This record gives sequence, C-alpha cells and structure tokens, in this order.
Amino acid sequence: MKAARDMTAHRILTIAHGHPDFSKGGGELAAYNLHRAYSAAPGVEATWFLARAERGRGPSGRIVHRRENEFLWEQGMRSFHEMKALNQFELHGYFTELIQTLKPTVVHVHHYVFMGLEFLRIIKKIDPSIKLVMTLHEYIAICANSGQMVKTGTNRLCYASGYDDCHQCFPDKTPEDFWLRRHFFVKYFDLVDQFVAPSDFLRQRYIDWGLAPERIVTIENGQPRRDPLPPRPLAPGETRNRFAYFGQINQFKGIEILLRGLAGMTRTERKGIVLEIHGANLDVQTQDFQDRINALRAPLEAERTLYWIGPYEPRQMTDRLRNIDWVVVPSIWWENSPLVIQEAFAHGRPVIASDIGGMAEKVVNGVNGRHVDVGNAHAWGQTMKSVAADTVQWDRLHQGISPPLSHEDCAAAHLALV
Amino acid sequence: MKAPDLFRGWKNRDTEHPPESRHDLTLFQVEVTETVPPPDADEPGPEIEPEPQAAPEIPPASESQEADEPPPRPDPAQAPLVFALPDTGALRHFKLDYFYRCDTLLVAVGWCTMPGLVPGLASNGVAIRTEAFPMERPDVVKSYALADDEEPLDPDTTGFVLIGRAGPDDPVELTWTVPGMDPERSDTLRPNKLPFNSFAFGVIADRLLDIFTSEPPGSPIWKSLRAAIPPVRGAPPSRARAHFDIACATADEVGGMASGWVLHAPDVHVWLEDDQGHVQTLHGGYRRYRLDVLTAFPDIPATDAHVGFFAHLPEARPGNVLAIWAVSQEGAWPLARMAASPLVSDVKEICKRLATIETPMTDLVKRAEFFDVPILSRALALQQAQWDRYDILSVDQGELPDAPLVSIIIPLYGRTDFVEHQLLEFIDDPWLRRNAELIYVIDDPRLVEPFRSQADELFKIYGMPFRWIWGQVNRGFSGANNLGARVARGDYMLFMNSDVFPAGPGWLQKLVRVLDDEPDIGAVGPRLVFADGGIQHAGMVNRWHEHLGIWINHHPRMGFDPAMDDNTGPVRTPLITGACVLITRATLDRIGGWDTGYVIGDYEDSDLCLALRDAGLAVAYLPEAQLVHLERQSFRLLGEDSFRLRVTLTNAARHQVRWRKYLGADGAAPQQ
Repeated sequence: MKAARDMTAHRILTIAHGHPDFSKGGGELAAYNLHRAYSAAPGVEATWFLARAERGRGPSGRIVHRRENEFLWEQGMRSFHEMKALNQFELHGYFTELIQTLKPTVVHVHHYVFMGLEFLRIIKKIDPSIKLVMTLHEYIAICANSGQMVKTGTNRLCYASGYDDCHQCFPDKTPEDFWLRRHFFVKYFDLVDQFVAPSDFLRQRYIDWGLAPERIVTIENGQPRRDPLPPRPLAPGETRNRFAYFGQINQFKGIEILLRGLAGMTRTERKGIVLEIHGANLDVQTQDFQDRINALRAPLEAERTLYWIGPYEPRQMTDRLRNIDWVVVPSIWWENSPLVIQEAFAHGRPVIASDIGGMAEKVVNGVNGRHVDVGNAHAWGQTMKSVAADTVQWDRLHQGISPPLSHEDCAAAHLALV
Repeated sequence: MKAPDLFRGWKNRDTEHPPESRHDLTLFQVEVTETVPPPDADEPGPEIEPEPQAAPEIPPASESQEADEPPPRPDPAQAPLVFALPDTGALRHFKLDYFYRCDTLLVAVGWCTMPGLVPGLASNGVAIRTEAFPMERPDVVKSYALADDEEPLDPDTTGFVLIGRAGPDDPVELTWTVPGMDPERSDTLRPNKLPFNSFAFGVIADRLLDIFTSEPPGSPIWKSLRAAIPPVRGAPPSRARAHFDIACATADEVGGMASGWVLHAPDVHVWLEDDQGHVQTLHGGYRRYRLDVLTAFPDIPATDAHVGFFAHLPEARPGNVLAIWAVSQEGAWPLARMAASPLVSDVKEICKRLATIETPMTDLVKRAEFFDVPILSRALALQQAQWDRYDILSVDQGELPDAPLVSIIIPLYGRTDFVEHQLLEFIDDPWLRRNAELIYVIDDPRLVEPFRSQADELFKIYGMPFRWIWGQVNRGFSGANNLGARVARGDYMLFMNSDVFPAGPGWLQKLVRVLDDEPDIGAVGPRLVFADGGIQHAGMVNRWHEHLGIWINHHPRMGFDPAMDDNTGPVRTPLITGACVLITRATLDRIGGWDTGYVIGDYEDSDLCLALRDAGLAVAYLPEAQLVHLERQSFRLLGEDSFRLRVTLTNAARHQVRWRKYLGADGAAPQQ
C-alpha cells in the first residue's frame, strides 16, 4: 500500500475505442495524445489508457496489458443500432476488477462504439464519485448510420434525426425502434458528468438532439507544440499550385469530388495544378467505389497532374507538408474536427475545405483558408484554379493562421472541468 | 246380416242408451276381404315392408265367454271393425293400418268409412290430445260397391292420421266414438317397426316433416324421426344439391367444422350429419350469399340466395364422414359427403383454418358470432383447462420487497429488449422501488431461455429486483395477466405492456392515489404518448365501424399534441386501454380477473372496463401521469394483416354479444 494519496490529485483513466498502435483514426489519436498530456499535467497522480482491441478471439471481455499504464480490452458491440456490449458477463468481472484496482477519480471516455454503453453504469456503480467525462467524436447517438449524419444509400447530408426520418434510412427498423435507440442513449448519457465536443458544430448537433447545453463544452483537440514550416520556396514564375489530401480514402471523404473537379478542367487549366493524395485504405472500399476512383486517377496521373502517394505515418506528416502549399479537405459529410486541419495549421499551411460542419468551423473562409460548396466538383476545380494563380491570396491566408491548441493546453482545459 | 256381438260394452250400452243419431247401429265384424287391399301391398323392399300383421282373428262371441275372463278388446289394428248402417244395413269399417312411436311422438294411420266415427288415442284410458288429419284414400273408396242411392264416400277424408304425444313408456290405446254410443278403446297398441312404411310416409310426410323440421336437430324426437324416415327409393329427386368446401375436425371436443353450400327447393329439408349420427342444423346462424351456386344451378328453385353454409359439429372427429342430408316427401337421401380432415386443436391453428374459409368482409362478424366464436370458445376452454396443470417457473432476480403495495405485472411476448428500457426508468423512481414489486410474465416459449441470462445480466447492471415467471404455455394477454395476478402480493396491481415506458418518476404513486381517493373508480390508467410525442391514449370509447359491422376501441384525439388535452385530475371515460392500468386486487377478484375468451389479443381491456361498469364502477385516465407507449410494437410478430383482421373481427363479434347492453350507450348506436 502506497502512502496516503493526495485526495485532490486526479487519477485519470482514458478509455478509447482503439489504440493508435493499431488504428490511427482521429479519435484514437486525440484520446491517446490527451492521455499523454494528462500524464504530464500538474495535479495528476496517475493516468491509464484502456483501448478496445480485436485480438483474434472475439469479445472475451478480458483486459490485456499493452505497456506500462496501457491496456487493451477485448470487447464488442451489438450494432450501431443497439449500443450494447457483446460481453455482459465480464463487465462484472475483468472490467469491474480493473476499475476497482485502478481506483480512478476521473474516467475520460472517448468513445463507446465497439464497447457498448453499459460500462458507464458499471463505473458509477463501483464508485458514484468517479467523474465521467465523455468526448463525442462523431454523431453516433444521433445517427445509426455509423454516426455520420448522412442518408444511407444516397449519402445526402442529414440535418437532424427523427424517428420517422431514421426509419427512412433503415426501413427494417420502425420509428419506435428509433425511440428505443434514443432512449437508451439518453438514459446512459444521464450518467455522464461532463461532455466535451471538439467543435462547436458537433456540440450544437447534440444540443439540438436534446443534450442540455450546460452539460457540453467545446474543447479543440490538441496538437504538439511546434514551429510552422517555412512556405514552400517558389522558383521564378511558379505559383502556389500544389495541393495535398491527407487521410482515409472512403466515400465520405470527397476524393471523388476532388478528382472530378480536376477532370472537369481543360487540359491547359490542369497544367498549372498538382494534387497529391496521401491516403490509405482505398483497397478496402467497395469495388464500385475503387473502380470509379481508379478510372478518374489514371488519366490525371498520366498527365502528371495527380500524384497518388499513398499511406503515411504521422511522423512523415511534416516532410510531406514541406513541399505543398494547400491542404484540401473535400469531405461530403459533416466531419467533427478533422485532425488534418489542425496539423495543417500547425505546419503553417492554409486549408481549402467543404463549407459544412466542423470543416467550415475550423477553416475560416478568407482568413486561414477557403470554403468550397460541398460536393460540387466544378466549384472545387474552379477554386483550385483560382487560388493556384493568386500568390497574394496565399500569403494573406498564410498570415491568418493561428497556432492550434497544444496538447498541454488541451489537457489543462479538461482538467479545469473536473 | 247377423251382427256378432263382439264387444260386450258396446252391446250393453246399445241396450241401455238408445242411439241419438239417425243411425241404428249394428256392430259386427267381418273378415278382411280382398276388396280392401292392405295399403302398400305393391311396395317392395324389406326395409319398408309393413310389419307382417297377424291374420285377422275373429274372437268367439262374447256372450259365451265366462264372466271372470274379460274378453279381449276389439282391435282395429288387427282387422277392420265393421259397422252396419242402421237405415240400409250397408257395412262400414274402421281400420288402423299403422301405429308408430317415435320417441314421444305417436302416429296412427288408418281409415274409416263409418260416418261420425271419431278416432282418438288414449293412455290408460285417459285421452291423449291428438291432431287429426284427413287423408285421401281412394283405394279404400274404390273397394266399396255402393248402391246408387247410397251417400258416396268422400275419398279425400276417408283416411286419417292421428298425431299425439306420450311418454316413451306410456301404454297407448286407440279410441273411437260413434255418436250415440259409448267411447271404446282397444288394448295397448303394439307399434309398427320403424322406419315408416313408405306408403304411410307418403301420406303423413307433410305433417311429419313439419314436426321434424320444427324440432331441434339431434333431439331425441328428431333422431327418432330421422331414423323413421325411409330412404328414397331409386333416383333421388333433383330438387336439391350440396357441396362441401371444407370439412375438418379436431380429435377433441372442439370437434368438426364444415362449410360449403346447399341448394334446395322449398319442399326439401336439409341438415348436416356425420356417419356416427351426430347432427347439426344448416338453418339460422350465418349463411353466405352464393350467386355462383345460384347461377350454376338455375333449375333448382331456391327460396333463399344465401346458400353457403357454415356448421360446427362438436361431436365430429377426424375421419368421420360428414354428409348433407335432404328429406322430402319421397324420403331421405344424402346430397354430399366429405370425410373430416384432421385439424390440430390449437387456437391459432384453428384460427388459421377458419381464415381460409372465404366470406365477404362485411359478413365476417355475423359469421363469427354463429360459427367462429363457438368453435374458438371451445378450443380456448380446452386449452385453458390445461393451464392449471402446469408448474409455474418462477425466478427472482434480487430480493423483492417484503410487503409490496403494488405489483407491476408485465407480460412479455415476442421480444424482451423492452425490459432494459423499462428498468432504466424504474430504477429512477424511489417510490416505485420501495413500494412495488416487479413481475415479468414470460408468455412466449421462445423467450424463456434467452431471458434467463438476459434477466441475470439486467439485474447485475441495474440492480432492480424483479421476479420473472413462465407458465409453460402461451396464455395470451389476459391469461398472462391473470397468471401474474396469481403470484402478485400487492393490494394494487398495475398491468403494463412491455412497450410502455415511464418518462420519469412519480407516475405510479399518482395512479395509486386516484384509486385511494375516488371510490367509484375501479381502474385508472395514465395518459400515454407515442414515440413521436403524440397522444396514444387519453381514454377510450367504443365506436361503431359501419363497414366491418363491429364496435371498435377508439382512442379519441390519438396522435394529437398532449397539450391539446387540457383535462386535469382523474378523467372518467367509458373505457381505458389495458396497456397500463391500475386496479385493486379486490376489484379484480370481484369481476373474476381478465377475460380469457378472446383470441390472441383484442378487446380484453374493453371487456375489463365493461365488466367494471357491470359491477357499478367507473374507469378513468390521469393526464398528470404520462408514459410512452410504442404501441404498434406489440404483437408485430404475429403475421399478416388479413389474418389479424379476421381474428379481430372474431373477437369483436364475441365482445358485442357479451356487452350488447352497454355498447352504443356511449355514442351513436349502429344503424340497424
């Protein structure tokens, strides 16, 4: 037994739906980085990171030691419709033992997807004084379509959930099923002491859905403190014509719109533009989607307008940003707070983004980047053409970039809540 | 001509009481002559041959008989009594050809050429009230060679039929009176063997068929007559046709059911019968209009276009051959036969079979009243008779309150995912946790095993104690509620559907207070809203549905914004929903619990409310207690609409027969 603990010191367990060792999604990275920042923050006695993982033997409910203060949790969820744990039994076993052993004062939950919601109640049952903080990274409580808030099938944007509206997206579920779904989330969200939204846009969506405004604050995801890169040196006569996309390649990310925007230009117009795609996971998308992307890719690559660079590691990000002028975020869904926007700003690169949701919030049109009509390939083509030709505009937008929130400040903002 | 003094009584009276009529009667007996042929002599066939009659026996003159041995009475059944007309001395006769006994029915057939003679029947000398019918007997008249000046015999009234009633074991004698003479009677008549001699049947068919058709089929006298009617000889008359569309039977007391059509001329009578002698009328009840049949057989002058029949034959069993029989003056003959196919004696299976029998939508209720409901009532009664034999599985999750004030009883059917959502609300209601016990009644065999582990998991997470029970068989909404009530310990019982969810604490306490404060209220429910917030229940009324011809349970203001219901306090209303209803144990016991006579689930709540009304109690809903009801989720697994609709109509028929006296009292009465 250790010496008597400082009763005011925080003992923080962070729970995430994945470990960045295996999955480099924005949510996983944000959770892990914040966990690391907590460790270094004053007034924090202990920190742990528990990440749900798939280890080839299904949802055994077991806790696995990953490295010091880091654990993996073999848990699963029923579905995006029924946010319930697959392994109920070990909630009362290994998971309970973990909480009883670690004795956290704060559990910061970054996700419940793939884990179900019940663990929140287990934590409160073990010790009601444990503060539950939950960061919402997507719209999962609001939308059964993987929390994307786009319509199934058509990918049209969705502005609000509704029992009948949701039934249109999922005809095999009745409006009453969606009442049940919402009821379950609402009752479990009642257990959470503090919600955090990485964007005002996401916060407002949850308020519109029914979360009391006083229960949710906006805190941007943190970034490592760093100096911005110098602007890409221009050869004489050269313009700010190098664009880069970073991130996953899937149907919500707008790559197809971007490529169609390029394809829709005249050959002469395209000549002045270079687009790099730094993206992963095209190979796991539907064949139909892959075929469409590949058909657009081939002629553009032949013309040397498009360079398909492929996946990257986070540590490669800086080098890859060094030789480009603009970061593009053409998503056709709302996004929350895309990590790539913060990374671009941290490196001193203006961002061109779709004019909706978290993108429109983080990128201020005409200040640190440009907005483009979402899903409009022609508008993307025209915007790239015009900004590539306007070096003065790039300089102005480059000046407009403020450094993003650091991990340390992010942790401090969270600690102020508990 | 010598008049043998055959009958002492006659002779004595003859001397003591001079005849008042103009006839000076002389009595004597002659041998039966060939001039009066025994009726039916030309009729072949052993079944219909009259019983061979003993050769006429002429008793010795009574004068010579010893005084202490009473002479046998004259027996017109054996040989004609002979009378001599006083003025001419011409001979006249009185003869009983046949005497039949069908259970209590007495039929005497004979003829009489003696003017003024009144035949009758008596039992131990006491006259039996009889109907006497004249009958044509040209055969008799023809055998008399009348003198020119003699009054001609009327062939139309020569014959007679006497029909009376007597106890099956009472002795019956023939009586006759002749004006101016004392009444006389025969010894106890020995009945002829049935069936009716076809000659006799030919003359009495009209009247017998009147009696036959007025008796309830299957009654002893009906059966006796049925056996007495001779089969048709040769080709049956072409005045009737029938066809079975369906004939099936369960192996138990639900029995047989048949449907088809029967087309017959007005003088043909029909009924349903199986090869074991079980019978059922095809008249009354519900009959279906069948233009197709009428068009196909225009040669048969049907009196009613409703030739489609629906019959329940409770005694029939699988394999019994059902037949439509016809009877007319020619006798009886079968029109159609079908062996009853086996049918599983299960309410739902029977419902499904019944649903295959075509009937216009607008007729379904009438059909149900006479056909479906009696069948299903038997099936339900048989099924429910088994319930008490089953052991009840009862599992406690956690420790229930010692002496709960309220028992919350929630049947589970089809799905159990609702339970978690209910628990999520119950745990937030401290009053409820202190004062109520929670009882889930599994009413679906498919749920038992999955629920066993689910219940354990739910208790571990939510810590809300509850009992769950399984009665080993699906009992339906009422049966499951009654089972829950059996194990409930509270003075109050809250019956709740699994898809009803509180919206916060306090609602149960409010409902209890209503029953405490308002003694005239027998049951109270909350206001219920749908998932989207619109009113699902704010009281209920019976409403006449003209197209279907049923009283439906109508939810006034359904779908409206609850703000549009500005009622406060308990609102007395004709009916309330059974989805969430509080009632005291005493009251529930007083009305005998939930009625289990409805199939699958309809009208139980309306029935409960009307039973309360019958007991002098009101029902009310409380707007201040509002819960969510995901109404359409209930029973959504039960299958296609048309089947459900038929079940609903069947239940509606039963409901309106039971509560006719109250239905319509709340609003517009149906247009009759």
